[in-house]
Amino acid sequence: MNYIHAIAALMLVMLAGCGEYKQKVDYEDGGYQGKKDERAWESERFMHDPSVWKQMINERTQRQNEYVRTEPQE
Amino acid sequence: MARMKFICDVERCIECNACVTACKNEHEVPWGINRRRVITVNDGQVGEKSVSVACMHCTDAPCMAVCPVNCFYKTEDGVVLHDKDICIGCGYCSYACPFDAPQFPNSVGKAPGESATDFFVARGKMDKCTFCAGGPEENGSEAEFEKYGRNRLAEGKLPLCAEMCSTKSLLAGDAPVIVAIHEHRIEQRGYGDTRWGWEMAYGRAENEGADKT
Repeated sequence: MNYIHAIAALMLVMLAGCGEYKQKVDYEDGGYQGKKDERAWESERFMHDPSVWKQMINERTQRQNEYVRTEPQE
Repeated sequence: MARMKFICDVERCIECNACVTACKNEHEVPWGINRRRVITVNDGQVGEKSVSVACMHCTDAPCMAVCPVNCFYKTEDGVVLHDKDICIGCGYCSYACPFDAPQFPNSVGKAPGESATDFFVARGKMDKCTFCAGGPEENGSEAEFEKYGRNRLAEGKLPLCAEMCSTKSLLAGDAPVIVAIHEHRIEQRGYGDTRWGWEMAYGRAENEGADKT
């Protein structure tokens, strides 16, 4: 009888091992998890060419420079 | 590729708040969210200074580093954006940001000290300046506008706050271009560099006077 009890106890202990889960945390590398974004120049307006877009942006940036319009008198 | 940055020239800012108004109007930003704001130091005293503050789209953005769900990304033009479908509103980015750029829709409009909804998730999804570059939706789409505001960069335009600044205190654009404009300005007026927040956001240049990007 004791022999049967011992086997039953052993089986219970072994079964308990099936419920164990991994204790170690796997860290992600921190990459972006969201949706992919379209790039600003990906349209017919810029012919999908980043250089066309950049040129337009830089020309527009120069409009913020009032010295382009009027250099101060020396 | 372009590296989009802001410069606020504190010698020129007159605290008119046109940049704030332009931003709110262009993106139809709801009440309580201030993607851009003007801060005045020593208000009313001789020598007071005002500065227009928003997300500086940092080179090494701390918000990106602390986000637990990795909802931030940087575009090829150096603009720091985020995906609102991923954001859980934890507020870590708000604590990390030195410019107080991240805004939360449900944690505003309360008396000082009150923080009834100021806890995890309940504060809502983060909103911030997008450099008028929208977000991860189809360029110019209704979904993009509702979540992130107008995408002016995809229209070949610059952020409206800078474009309509009356004194041209606020400059926006590719870093080398706006640095050149600003340095020419300094040469003309004959005194110091007043690029507020520049070094904190973009780092100190190895050679002073060289391109500080």
